[in-house]
Formats: sequence, structure tokens, C-alpha cells
Amino acid sequence: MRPGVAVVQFPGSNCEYETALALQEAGLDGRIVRWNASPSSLASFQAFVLPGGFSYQDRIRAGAVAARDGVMDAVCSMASAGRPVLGICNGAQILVESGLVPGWRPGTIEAALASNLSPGRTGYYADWVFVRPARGSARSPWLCACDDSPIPLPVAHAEGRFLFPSGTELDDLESSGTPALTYCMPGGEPAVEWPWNPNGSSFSLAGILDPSGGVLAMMPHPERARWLWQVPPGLPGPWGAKRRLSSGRAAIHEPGPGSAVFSSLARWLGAG
Amino acid sequence: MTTFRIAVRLRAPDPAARTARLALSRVMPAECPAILSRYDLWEFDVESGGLEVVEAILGRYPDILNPNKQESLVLGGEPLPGEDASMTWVSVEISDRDSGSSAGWSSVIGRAGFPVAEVRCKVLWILGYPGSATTGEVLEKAGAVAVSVTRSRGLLSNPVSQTARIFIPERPGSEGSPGK
Repeated sequence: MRPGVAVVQFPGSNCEYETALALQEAGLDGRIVRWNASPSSLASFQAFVLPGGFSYQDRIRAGAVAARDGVMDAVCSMASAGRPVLGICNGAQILVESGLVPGWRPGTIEAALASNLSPGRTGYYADWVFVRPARGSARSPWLCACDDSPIPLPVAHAEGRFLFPSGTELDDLESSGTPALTYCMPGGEPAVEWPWNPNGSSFSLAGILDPSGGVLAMMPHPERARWLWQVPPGLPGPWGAKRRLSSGRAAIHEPGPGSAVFSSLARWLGAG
Repeated sequence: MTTFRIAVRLRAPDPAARTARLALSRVMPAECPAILSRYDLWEFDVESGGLEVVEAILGRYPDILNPNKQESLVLGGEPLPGEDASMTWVSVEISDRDSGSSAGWSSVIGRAGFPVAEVRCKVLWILGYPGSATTGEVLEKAGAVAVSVTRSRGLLSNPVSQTARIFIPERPGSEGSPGK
């Protein structure tokens, strides 16, 4: 029997179907669960994914309303019991607003995903970027099958800039195992500026973990890079080259760079 | 340099305000205001000229003011429409630290040639409590609602990325009350 993974759909989520499909392709039983499902119906799931979208129309602040939804009581409870939780894009915003990440003082809001800060631009930004798993992130169920080579993934958001309380240094984050994914150049060098750091995120962070590693909040969309055919042929680096070579061949239907997130969880749960 | 503060609101009931009040009534019923309204607050530091500069900007950018669905008010101390004198009103002004929106709009409007040194995009929430509540009580309740501490305490701002200014608005003929 495949381990069950709940994809929690809020009003305004818009990536739940492809996220559930990516989980199923990884050998998991990805199922969409609505925000108003009974808490008891969530107990059987081994892991949870909060998908991307615009929950509650981003009213007040992205993720702020969904974080206070009743279903998040159950998700927080499951996370504290050690069940893996992934938030993608709007899901990451919900996890930050829930106080699940960085989770230094569990339940307390200690980070923000602020509006993008990039020269001469404002608002929503969508493009492909490269990320690398941070040192120590292999302890996470969501990243344990990733190597440290650059992973191309798409981003699409207006509020994706990780911020921490003033005075927080990179050493503070590393000592608590917070960094999960960092934006990088196509060759793997750290990304400092736009467009490779697409939103001005602190320490070029694209994703953060709670201290246990079980909760991952990431802004890029791995489910939109689940298959090789989703990779733009013009992308620099090995994935772009692989994509170009696969054109017109069966290989184009092979797993893409984002599949590593879902296959990590499958391996962690003994299904991969 | 003159700073103009323009509040922009929907002509229809604001969905964000309704959602915020619904969420607060569930997680913080004791502090939830009886009435909650929301405005986009735009501050323009105009280097030369007067209100006509701001009016020209508003006329050019429907992303700031779409007259088909929104209306604007120049803030100057007078009560905002709908503020019932029998209630006690508190303003909560939310500003982003290092605001990407403010930087972006400052750049866009500067490049367009308007004599504006800086644009600041904020959100203004107006909280109405029953008139029987004291000023101290409503400031305390508004403060609790304004700053998110956990999932169940606070809502209107994230203290890591935003600041909240909470105050009783000054009215003509009154001395106003200090906020915090």
C-alpha cells in the first residue's frame, strides 16, 4: 500500500492537481484534501503538502488567512508529531505565517515572505531559476535524495523574499539548520543579485526548514518541473542540454529536475 | 517638499476587510472590532507643485486608482466616510520594511517624469469599537489585533517585515490621543 500524502487545497489554491500527480508519479498516494475536511480524516496521512496558488485571494497578506484556518490546527499538530510537511510558494507563505518555519520557538511567527525587491520592478515575477540544497539539508525528508548540483525550477510570486528579525546572521540560521535551498547561478555559484536571486531574498534563500528538517517551505515550484518536457530547451546547464537532446524522443517524458523533491519523500517513507 | 496622503478604497464592500473580521471573530473574539474597513494608503513626497501632481498620477495609473471600482480621499484629519460618532475609532497603519512595492512605484513614477521624490505604499485599517470602550481599551485591543505573534494572536501585520502604527485619529477640534 502506497503511503498517503495529503495535498491540502484552500480556497484559491491552484497547483493541487499537478502536485498530487507528482506525488503519485513518485510512488505515493497523493490525494487532494479540502480545507474544510474533518481533522480526523487527516490522521491517516503520512505527510502533507500545502500547494501553490492564492489562498483566500492573498487577502490581508499572502498566507495569513489560511494559516489561521482550522485545517492548519491539524497540520501543525501532525508536524509536531514528526510527519513531514512541505509548503510550495503560497504553501510556504502559509507555513511562515503559521510559525512552523523557521520554528526556533514553535508557533511563533519569526520570519516573513515579503514583497519582491528587485531593481526597477514591482509585483509578480515568474521565471526559471537555479537552486542548490544547503549544507545539512539532506536530513530533510523532502531533500534527502538531492545531490548538491544546481536544480532548475520555476518561480512565480510577488512575495517571496525571506526575511528574519533584524540582526539575524547567516551563522544563526546555519546553527539551527534553517537553510534548505539557496538560489544560485547556473554553474552553482551563489546568486547575489536579480535575476538569479529573483526576489532579493535574505542570504539568497529559496527554502527554509524547521529545526527537525521535517517542515520545508520553498518558493520555487518543483511540481512544475516534474517532467523533462517542462524544462525550457534554452535553459543553460545540464538540464537544458538534456532537454534539447530529448526533443522528439521518448526521453522527453523522463523525470525532470523537480522530481527529486517528491522522490526524496518516497524514499523517506519507504516507497521509493 | 510636500507629502500627500491618499487613501484608496473599493466602492463595494472590501473582501479583505470582511475576511479579516471573520478571521478575527474566530481567533480573537474579545479583541475583534465591530467594524473593520481597509484602505490602500499612498504617500507621495512631491518636490514641486501641489495636489495636481498627485491627481495626474492617479489619472495615469489605474493600478493605483481604478475609478471604475475605487474612490480616493485626500487624508487631512477629517473623519473618513462611514465613521459613526457613536463608535470609538482606531487607525492601524501598516508599512513594509524595505518595501519592494514602494521602491518599484518610486522608480516607475520617477522615470515617468513626475516631480516625486518617493512613493510609499501602505495599508490603513480603521477599527471601530463600541463607544462604551475607553481609549485605553481600544488601543490595547487594536494593538493585539495589529501585530501577528502566533497563528492565534494578531493578524494585520507580520512584525518581521512590517511595522504597525496604532493611533486614535485626530479630528478637527480635538487634540487627538497618543498612539503607540
